This record gives sequence, structure tokens and C-alpha cells, in this order.
Amino acid sequence: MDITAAETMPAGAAVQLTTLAAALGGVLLAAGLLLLWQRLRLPPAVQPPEDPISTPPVETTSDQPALARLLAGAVIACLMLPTAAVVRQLWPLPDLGPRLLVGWFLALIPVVLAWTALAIAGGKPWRPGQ
Amino acid sequence: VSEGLPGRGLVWGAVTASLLLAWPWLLAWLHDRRPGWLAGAPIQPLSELVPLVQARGPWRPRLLLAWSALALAAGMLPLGRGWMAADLDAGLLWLVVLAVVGLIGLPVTGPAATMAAGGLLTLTLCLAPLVLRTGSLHLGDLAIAQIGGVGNWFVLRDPFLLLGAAVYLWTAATLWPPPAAGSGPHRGGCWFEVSLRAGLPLVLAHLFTVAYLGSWWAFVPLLDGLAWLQSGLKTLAVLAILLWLRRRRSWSDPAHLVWRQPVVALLVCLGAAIWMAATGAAS
Repeated sequence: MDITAAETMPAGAAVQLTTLAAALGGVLLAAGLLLLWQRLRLPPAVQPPEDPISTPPVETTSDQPALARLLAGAVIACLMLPTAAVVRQLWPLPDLGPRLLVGWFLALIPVVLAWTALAIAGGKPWRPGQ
Repeated sequence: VSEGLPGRGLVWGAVTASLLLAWPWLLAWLHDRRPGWLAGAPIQPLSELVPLVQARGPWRPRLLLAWSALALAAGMLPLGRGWMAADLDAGLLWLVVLAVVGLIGLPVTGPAATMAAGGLLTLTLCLAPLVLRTGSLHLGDLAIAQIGGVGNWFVLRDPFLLLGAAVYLWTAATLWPPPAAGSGPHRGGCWFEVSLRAGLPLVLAHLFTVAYLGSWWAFVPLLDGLAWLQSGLKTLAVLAILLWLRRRRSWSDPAHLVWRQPVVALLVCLGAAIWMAATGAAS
């Protein structure tokens, strides 16, 4: 088998992914129509009155910084790739597995390093130069 | 390789999303018409639902992300052969992915997020033995493996699957979220939120029907046909069971989601694998 030959996604997987994207498009279409109707027909919500007594003195911030969420998404994506290759249903190509595994490790290393650095920093949002 | 049609996916996705948006209104109408049926259930009457959606609320992208994931998952669950938005070979895997995406988008933090993650883990563990049984992640294969009447439904196939079904129902009833709070003149734009809260048990009930109750097949082969009706009636029956469980406050305590339910589900998983190996049922 010619290992230099370009591998393409089989037609079945491509159609399935297209269908999934189309279904998501349908969901977003319905959601968009609802949002449009709300914007055109409904009055804006009345803001609650400011209560100086009950207002907390310190501004509360999310305990989950944006970078951690981004890294969590990256880890999920990295975990999805080998799983899809292992079940060999989405991309049922025999030669694709090892290459995906190598790519997965290469992609996972910076993510894990960044996440570890974030954990060492005590969960504080990381900014360049810190 | 089964394939879907993008046009059908677009239409089915839009229809499923619309039904999910209409679902809380149907429940509220039923709550007002037949209060005895839904007494004690976490369902809002129309008088509370209308103020929640009558004004434009703040833009909440995380909530929209979670709702979209739920709507797409609902569209992927089959009502019959070919009656779904996307017919995917690894459909169950995609469902788990959508659940994780929904979990990320869920507007909860702290202990509530831990409980939601525990619930997702438990449900996934309850579905894992079925994947071992069928040797497939395709939702249609799960249904086809249960053809031939009630004796072939996974819920009655072996004792550990029965236990897994019970744990699934227990967890789904525990995960039934309370109604959206804070009704008043300052709240608004909560349609996606009430749809998410009311739709989650519906989607979980439908998934249970597909996974454990023979999906679109009747309990006797003689009555097979009208797949959408079979799926719909079974889903409503499962919803009734979830309501009954939800009324037992001590059973549906969210604290169970943290470790009790995941551990029991893990034992179910191990027991089902050992049972299949011992009886030679593993495919």
C-alpha cells in the first residue's frame, strides 16, 4: 500500500457530518427566528432597581477563567479524535489510526503543559508576561 | 455505512427545536387543565410561564449553547427507522459529546456543576453495557438489536441491564431541574431556559426508550408499525415514571449525583461485562 497516497474522508462520513451540520443549522434557524421575534415583538426587560444594601461590596467574578474553559474544550477535542479513530466508525481507515495518535499526542502536549501551568498559578487567569 | 440527508437534517433539526420550545407551554397547559396529574412536579403553570418570556432578556450565549446541544441531541434520537435528523454511525458517541458541550454551556457553577457532571457520568455508564451488547455506537443498531417483542428489550435481557435501567431512571429523575426562578417584571427572555429545564427530562426519557425499551418496536411483534406512535407512547410512559420518582424527595436528592449514583452505575457496568463474559452473550 502506498503510504504517501493522500487519504480522504470516506463519502459516508462526509455525508454524516454534513447532515449533522445541517441539523445544527436547523436548530439554530429555529433559535434565530425566536430571537428575532423576541427583538421585534417583545419589549425589553425592565432592569431590577439598584439596592445599595444588598449589593455585594466586592465584584464577584467567575471562578472558571476563560482560558481554563478554552483548554477544557481543547482537551475534549483531543480526546474525541482518538476515540473516533478507535471505534473506527467515523473514519474507518486502517492507516489513519497511528497517524491520528501521533497528531493527538503532539496536540495534547501544549494543552496539558498550559493546563498544568494554569493549575500551578492557582487558577488565576493567565496573561502573557505574567 | 448509513447515511443521512442534509436537507432532512435541516428540516428535522428545525422541527425538533420548535417542538422543544413548545414543550414547556404544553406542560403548563396540562398543569392548568389537569393539576392532579402533575401535582408536585417541577412544572410551571401558565401564570408563571408567561411573565418569564413576555419581555426581552439579556443575551446569554452559554444558555443558548446548552439549549442548542439539547435540541440537536433530541433531533438525533430516532423516532423510527430513518426518523431522525442525522443518522450517525457513532451516534451514541456524538450524544455524549453534545452532553459535554451542554454541560460546558450550562449556566451553573460550583456544586451544581459537579452534580450535573456526576449525572452525565452516571447516564454514560448506564449506556456503556448496551454498547458492549450490540457492538455498535449506532442508535439504530441499538433499536434493531431489540426487535422481536418485549423479551428482547435490553431492560429484560439480563439482571444487570435491569439494574442499569433503574439507575438511569433514578438519575434522570434526579436531574429533572426545578422551574426557572425569579419570575417578576425584571426577568424576561427566559424561553430558552424554560425549554432547557422542561426539555431535559423529555430527551432523557426518549433516550431511555431507544436504549432500553425497544425503541420503535412494539412489545409484541404483531403490533409493530406506526413507529413514531410507539416511540411517543413509550417516552410519555417513561416521563410518567420520572415524575413519580421526582415526587419522592429523598430519592431525587441531588446529593446522590455526586458519588452514589456514579458508583452504582460503575458496578452495573462491571457486573454487566462479567455477566456477558460468563454467559457468552458478548458479541
